[in-house]
Amino acid sequence: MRHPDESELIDYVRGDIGDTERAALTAHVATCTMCRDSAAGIRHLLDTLTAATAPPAVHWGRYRAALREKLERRKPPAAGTTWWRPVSAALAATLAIVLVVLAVSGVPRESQVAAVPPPEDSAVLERLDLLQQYTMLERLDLIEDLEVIGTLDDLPDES
Amino acid sequence: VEPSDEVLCERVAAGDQRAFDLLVERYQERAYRIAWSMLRNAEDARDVSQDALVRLYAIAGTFAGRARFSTWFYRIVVNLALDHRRRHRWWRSLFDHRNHDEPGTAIERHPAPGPSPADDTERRDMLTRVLTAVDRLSPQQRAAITLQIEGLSTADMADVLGCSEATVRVHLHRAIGTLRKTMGER
Repeated sequence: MRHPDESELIDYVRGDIGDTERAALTAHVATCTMCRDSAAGIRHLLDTLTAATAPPAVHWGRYRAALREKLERRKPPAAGTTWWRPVSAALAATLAIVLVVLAVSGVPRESQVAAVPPPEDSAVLERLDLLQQYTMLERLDLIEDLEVIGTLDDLPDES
Repeated sequence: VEPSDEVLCERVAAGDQRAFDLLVERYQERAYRIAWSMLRNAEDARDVSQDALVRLYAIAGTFAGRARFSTWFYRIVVNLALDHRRRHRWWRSLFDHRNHDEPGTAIERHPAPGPSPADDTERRDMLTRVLTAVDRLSPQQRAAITLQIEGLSTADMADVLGCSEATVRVHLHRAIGTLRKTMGER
């Protein structure tokens, strides 16, 4: 087998190759000092990086507290923290009270309106017997004519 | 049985605060580590990783489940880190120039885990060289290296970085080649 290039050895060390290639490279590295040293150097570098890139210690309690602050800043304001929320609540309460008061005593129902006729209607209703004596009232359409109304006395007697 | 990340993400989208807290517990360290690997500044890494979690909270409903949750979330972190680097490039370059002129500053900016023996100067020098070289990689190469360290597969890296697997390999190969030269290992 030819000597693998550095890229192939990197993939080999990382385990990023297929089974067939792996078997062939394992056999080669076992017998080739140069490639074995090269593979060991790559592995050493990755191990060194893993150890060397450990970050400075963090106080996780403070970390999460800062995270919570950032989250709070993103959230919409809680209820009651804006000026219009209490105002709208007061308006809603006032409207509710007005509706309750009207429901209890303020607005007459339709049946109540019908039970109390206007004054002119009351007078007519009290003397229905008189209305029955005027035969001309059988022709109600004449009442709508102002000229007829003005000359009622001149109308011919139909009786 | 612990709910999967994907299930928790669905619950977050439905407004479940407890589900979000669980995802934060699972991913805060990984998000911070990825951000730090790409930015090399603890404060920036905290900010960017927190911003990624805030973004997760805001857009959990858009997670379609086509990829794993981890891949989807890593993409958010990496994109925010890349964006942060772009926005702060002029400022960073100013201070990088100053720091590179000061011997020993790099290792202080990138502390290795655990105590470093005083007589282990060779190892410290090597770490300084490697980490300085990592700083000089392109953002995409550094992102690929970061995700390699996180143990992602090539396919997952391609998903996170929004490119093909072949492109991921190119970034990795070039990055590792550059770093090996820096370490004097050819």
